[in-house]
Amino acid sequence: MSISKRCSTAPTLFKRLKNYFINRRGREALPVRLHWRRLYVLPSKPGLFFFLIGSTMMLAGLNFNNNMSLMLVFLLFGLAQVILYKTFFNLKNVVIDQVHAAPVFAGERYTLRLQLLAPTDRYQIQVKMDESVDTANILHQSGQWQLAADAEQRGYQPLPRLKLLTRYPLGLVTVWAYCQPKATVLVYPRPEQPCPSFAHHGGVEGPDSSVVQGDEMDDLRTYQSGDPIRDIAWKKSAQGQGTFVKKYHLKQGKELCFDYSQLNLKDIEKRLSRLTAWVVEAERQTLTYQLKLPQFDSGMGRGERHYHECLTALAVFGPGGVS
Amino acid sequence: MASQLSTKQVFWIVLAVVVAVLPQLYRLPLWFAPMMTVVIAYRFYVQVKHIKKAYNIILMMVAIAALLLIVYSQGFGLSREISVTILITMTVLKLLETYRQRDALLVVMLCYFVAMTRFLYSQDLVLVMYLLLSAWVTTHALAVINYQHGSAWFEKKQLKASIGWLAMALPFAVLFFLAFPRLGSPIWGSPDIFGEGKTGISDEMSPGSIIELFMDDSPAFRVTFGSNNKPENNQLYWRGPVLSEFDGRTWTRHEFRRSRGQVAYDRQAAIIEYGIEMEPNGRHYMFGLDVVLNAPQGSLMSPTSTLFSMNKVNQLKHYRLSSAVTDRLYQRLPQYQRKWLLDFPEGLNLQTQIMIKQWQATDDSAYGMINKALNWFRTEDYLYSYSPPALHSNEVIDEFLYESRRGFCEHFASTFVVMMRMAGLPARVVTGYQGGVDMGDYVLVKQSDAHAWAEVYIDQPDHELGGYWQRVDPTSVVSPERLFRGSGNIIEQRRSFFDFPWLRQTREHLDRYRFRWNQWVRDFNVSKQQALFDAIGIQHRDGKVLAVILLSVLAASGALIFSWLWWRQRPRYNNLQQWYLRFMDLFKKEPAIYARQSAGMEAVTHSIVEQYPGLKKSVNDFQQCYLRIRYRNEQLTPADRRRLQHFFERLKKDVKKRYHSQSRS
Amino acid sequence: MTTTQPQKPQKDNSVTAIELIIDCVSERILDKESAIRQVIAALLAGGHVLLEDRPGLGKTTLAASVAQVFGLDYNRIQLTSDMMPSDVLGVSIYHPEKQAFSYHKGPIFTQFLLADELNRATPKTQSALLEAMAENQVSMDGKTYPMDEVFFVMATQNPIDDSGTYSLPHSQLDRFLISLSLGYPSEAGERKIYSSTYLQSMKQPLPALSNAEQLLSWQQAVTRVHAAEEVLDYLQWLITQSRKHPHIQQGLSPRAGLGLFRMAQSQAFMAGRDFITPDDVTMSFYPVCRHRLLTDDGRLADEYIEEMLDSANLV
Repeated sequence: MSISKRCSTAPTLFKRLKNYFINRRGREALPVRLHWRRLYVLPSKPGLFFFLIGSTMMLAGLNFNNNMSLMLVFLLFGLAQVILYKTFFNLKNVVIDQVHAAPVFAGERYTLRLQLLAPTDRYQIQVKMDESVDTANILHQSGQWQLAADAEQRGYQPLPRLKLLTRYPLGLVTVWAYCQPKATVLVYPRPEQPCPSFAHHGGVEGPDSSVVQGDEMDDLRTYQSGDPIRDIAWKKSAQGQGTFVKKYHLKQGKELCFDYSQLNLKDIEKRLSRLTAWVVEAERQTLTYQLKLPQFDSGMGRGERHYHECLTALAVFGPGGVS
Repeated sequence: MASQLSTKQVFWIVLAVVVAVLPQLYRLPLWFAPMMTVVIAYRFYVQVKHIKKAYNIILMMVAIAALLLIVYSQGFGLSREISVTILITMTVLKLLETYRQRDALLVVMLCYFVAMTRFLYSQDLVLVMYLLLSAWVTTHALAVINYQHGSAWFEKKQLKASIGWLAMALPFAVLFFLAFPRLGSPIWGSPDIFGEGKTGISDEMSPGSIIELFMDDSPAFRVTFGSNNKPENNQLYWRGPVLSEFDGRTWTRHEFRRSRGQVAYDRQAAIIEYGIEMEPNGRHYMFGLDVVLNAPQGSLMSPTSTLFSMNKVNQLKHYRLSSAVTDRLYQRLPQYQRKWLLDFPEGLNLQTQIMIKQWQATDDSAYGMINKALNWFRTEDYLYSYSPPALHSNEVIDEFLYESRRGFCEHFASTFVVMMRMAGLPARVVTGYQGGVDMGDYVLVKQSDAHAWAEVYIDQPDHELGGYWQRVDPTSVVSPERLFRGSGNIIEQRRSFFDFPWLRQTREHLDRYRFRWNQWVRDFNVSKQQALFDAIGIQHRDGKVLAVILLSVLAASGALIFSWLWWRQRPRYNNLQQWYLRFMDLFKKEPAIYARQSAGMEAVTHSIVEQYPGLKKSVNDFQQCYLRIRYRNEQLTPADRRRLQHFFERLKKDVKKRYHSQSRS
Repeated sequence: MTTTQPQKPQKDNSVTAIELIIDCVSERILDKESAIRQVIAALLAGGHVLLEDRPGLGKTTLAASVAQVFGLDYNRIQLTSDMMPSDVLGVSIYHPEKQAFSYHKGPIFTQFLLADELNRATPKTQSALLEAMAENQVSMDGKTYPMDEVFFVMATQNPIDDSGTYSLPHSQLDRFLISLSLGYPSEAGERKIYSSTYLQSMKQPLPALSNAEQLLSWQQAVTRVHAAEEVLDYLQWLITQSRKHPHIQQGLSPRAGLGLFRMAQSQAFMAGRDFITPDDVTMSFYPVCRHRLLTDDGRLADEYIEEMLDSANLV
C-alpha cells in the first residue's frame, strides 16, 4: 500500500522540488541580470538528432578507417561546441529591465510588455509566460516582448514566472533561464455586464445639466438587486406587476456620486463590480463623477487620471484586492 | 511555432541538398538526376503557389516507387552502394514533405551524412575542399532555417558567421582527429568495400587501350626512394599485369593459382628499397619496380612477378618493396607454359610469318632474332604516335607492320611479342608504367605514364634454372626519348583541348600538396598516431590516458572557443573613444566620477569641475579640444592628435599634483 | 562668398550677442536662465514653445521681454471659450461699395505671438491657430495669406484649473517644438522681485538688441550646424528608446526627432560651436519630449525620460 502511495506522489514531489529549486531566488526586483550561473543548458531535440547523425557518421568513419569522414565528424562536433557557446552567449548577461502591463479589468487578458537589455545584439530570444510566447531580438541594446495572460482576480496581481529561452543560432542547444520579477499587474474589478443604470446617490447636480429625463412614470425599468430603495417607483410597483425603479437619463454635465455604502448588495465583489461598471460608463459618457469607498473618496472629477485613481481604489479595496 | 518555411529557407535547404548530392551524381542510377530535378522544381512550385503538403499516402507511394527503382537498377541487398543510394534518395524525397522547421532541420542535417558518404569513395584533396564547402552551405542552411538575418538570398553577415563557426570548430576537429583512438581493423565489412572503379592498367590489352590511359594525368602512384638511390629514368619499369594469351587482337592475362617459385638475378644488379603510395585503382594489381624481390604483407607474387593485393585497392595503399634493377630474371619455364607462350593465331599475319621465316634462315639465335626485329623497327619508317590509325582487319600485326606503321607502345610490344613467338621464342607482354616525374622527395607516376613492353625467354641450359626472362622494349628503339622524358613530353601534339604544358606543370605541382595531404591526413592511422604520441612523450595508451587526452582536448578547445567568443563580444572602441577611456583612467580613484563613464565627456567633466574647481582650466581645455576633434565635420589629423596629447599631458600633471597635495595635507 | 573664413568672426559676434540677449532677459525673469535659454534656442530653431505653468509665474513677462530684445512685433491673444477662429485669424468683410471682400488680418499676423491659456479655446479655434502655426500661412475663403518669415508662437497652458478647458489633443501638442514649465523662483530670486530697483526697471521697455533680419540669419546659421554620425546615432537611439519603452504609450514621432535635432543644433550654435555634441542632444531631449510622451495611464513620462537619458552609453 505504501509503495503505491509513494508511486503516486513521486511525480508531484519531484515537480515540487523542481519548482522549489527554480523559484529559489524568490521574486526579484528588476532589473535582473541573467548571470551565467542562472542559465540552464541542454541539447534541443534537433541537437540530439544532430548528435545521433554525428555518432553514426563517426562509427562509419572509424570502421572503415576513413580519415576524412572522421575529420568531418569532428568538425561537426566542434561546430556543436561552438554553437553551444554561441547560444550560451546569446542569453548570457541579458538584463530583464522592465516589465509592465497596463491595468485591465478582471476577466480580460492583460498584455505584459517586457524590455530586455544587452550590451550586444542578441537574436531570437523567446519569452514564455504560462502559455503565452513571444520571440524577438535585442538590437541596439534593447528589445521588447509582448505576452498576454488572463487577469482573473482584481488587485495587484503578481506576474507568473517568466522563462527566457534561446536556441539561436542553429537550434542545436537550448539555453534558458527563469525569472520571477517582483512586479505586479493591476487588475480592476470585473465591471458588471450589462452596465446597470446610474444610481441616484445624491451627487451634486451640475449647473447646466440637471435635467433628468424619465422622471415620470413612463420611463421605468424593472428593479435590479442593488438599486437604491428610494429610487423605487412605489406607485407603479404597487400595481403588482413587479417592482420598478425610476430610470434616470443624465445629460452631459451631471455630476454623479457612486457610494459604496449606499449600495444595497451583500457581496463585496458584486458591489465593486457595479461601481466599476458605473465608473467606466461615466467616463465613457464624459460625465463628472465621484467615488466613495470606506476610507477613500476620489472627489469630483473626470479625465484619465481621475478614472484610473477610482478604478485602482476599487481594485485594491478590502480583503480581495490584496494578494 | 509551426510556421511555414519562407522561400529563402527552402532555397537554402535545396541548395544544401544539391551541393551534398552533386559529387555522387555520377555513380547514382540514371533516373536519379531527373528525379531530383522534378522534386526540386515541384518543391519550389509548391512554395510559390502556396500549395498544401501532399497526402502522406501519396508521399509514401513515391518513396516506395523510388525504393523499387533502386532495387531495379542496383539490385537487392544491403550493399554499401544500395544503402548510400537509399540514403541519398530519401534525403531528396524528404524535400517533398519539408514544410516545417523541424523537417527542414532533419533534411539539412542528413546533408552532412550524405556529404560524408562521398568520402568513403575518395578522399582526394580537391574533394575535401568541395565537401568543406558543402559543410559550409549546410551549416548556413541550418542557420537560415533558424533565423534569417535580412532578406537577401545571400546575406553576407550570416554567411560570414557560419564560416566563422566552422573555422572555430577546426582546431577542435584537428586535435580530436589526432587524439581519437582508431580501430586497427574494421568491425564490420572491410575497408575495400567502398571504392571507385578508377581507370588504370587493366588485365586486357588491345590496340588503343593504353592510349586511353595516356590521356589521363591523374596520379597512379608515388614512390619514395631512400637517399639518392633513385635509378635512371630509363630503368624505371613499373611492372604490372603480364599478358600472355593472344587471340589475334586482344591480349589477356593467364590466371595462376600459385605464387612465384624460385628465381635468381644477376648478382651485380643494384638492390633498391623504396616505398609506394598507391592511389586506389579498384583492382588487385600492385606495382613495383622490375624486378620485385618479395611480396609485401597482404599481397602475393604471381609466377609472372606481378604483385597482387589480397583486397582490391580501393583506398590509398602504402607498401615497401625491394627490387633488383635488372632486365633479366632467371626463372624456370615449365613445358606446359612454354606451349602457351609460343601460341599465336597461325592462319593470320602470313606476311609477317614469311618475313620471320626469312630471318630465321640467316641467324637462328635468340639474340639474333631480337636484334633483327629491333633493327627492323629502327630502320624501317615507324613512328611513335598516340593517335595511330585504327586497325580494322583481322590481321592486326600485318596491318600495323606494313600499312599503318604508326603506333603507341602497345602496338610495338604486341607486335614484337608475336614476332618472337613466330620465331619460336617464348615471349609475353608486360604492362605497367614507365618513368615518372621527379618531384624532389618522391617520384610521381601518372596514369599517362602507362606503358607496355615485351619479355622474351632465353634458354640458358647451363644455368640451374634453365633460362631467363629478358626484357625488351621495342618502343625505346622507335623513340628512345620516351624512356627519359616520358610520353607526355615527347609528343608535340596536344592530347586534348585543355592539354597545355603549363596546366600539366600546375597539376604536377599540385600533386606535391596531395602527397603531403596523403601522408599526413588522409593516411593517418594507428601507427602514425602511436608515433605522434611517442613524439610528445605519451607512452601508455590505455583507456585512462586516452580519456584524459580527449577530455583535455575538449577542455582546451572549449576554452579556446569560449575566450575567442568572449573577446569578440567585448566592446570595441575607436581611437577617440580610447582617448576618452584614458581620460577616465585618470580618475580611477574617484568612484563618484569614474562611475559616470557612460554619461559622456561633458557630464563627466562637469562633475570633475564641480568636485575639483582647481582642475577647471586643464579639464575644460582638454574637453573643448576633444569635443571639437570628435564631433566636428573633419577627419582626424596628426596635428589634432598632438594637441590632444598636449592637453592630456597637462591635465595628467595637474591631476597628479592634486593627489600629491591631497595626500600631503 | 560663404566660405568659412568670413563666417568665423561673425559667429563669435552672434554668440556674444545672444549671450547679451539672455543676460538682458534674465534681468527681467530672475533665476530662470535655463528656461530662457531653451526659449531662445527654440526661437533660433524656428519652433514654437508651449509653457505649462500656473498663473503669475512670469509667462507673459518672459514672452514680452524676448519679443522686445529681439525687436519683434509682439501680439498677445487671451484665448477664451467664446472665441471664434476668425478672432484669431482675421475676417473677410464684404464691402458693398466695392462689391468685394476685403480681408482684415487677425492678431495672428505678427512676428511674436503669445497665445495665453490655449486650453481655454474651443477645439475649433485651437486647431485654426495650430494649423496656421504649422503652415506659416492663413487660408481663408480659398485664398492664402502668408505670414511673416519670422513667426514664433508661445502658448501657455494652465495645468491645474482645468474646469471648462479643452486640453490639447496629443497630435496637436506635437506641433510645439518644446514645452517648458518655469516653476517658482528660488527664495533669493523671489526676494529680488520685491526690491525697488527691479520694480523700477520693469516699467522701462527692454532695448531691442537684435532684429528680425538678424534672427533670420541666425536661424539660417543654425541649420548649418554639423552633426557627426555618432551624435546622430545617439539621437536616433533616444528616439527609438522612447518608442520601445514599455511604459510609454506612444513614442516620439519623426517630427519630434527632427525637432530634437534642430534644438540640438540651436544649442550648439548658442554655445558657439559649428558641431553638435551629445550634451546638446541630452539638454534638448527633456523639453522636446515632455509634452509628447505620456505613460499608458495618462501621466507625464518625466521619470522615464530621465531613465532613458541615464541608460545611454556615451563612451
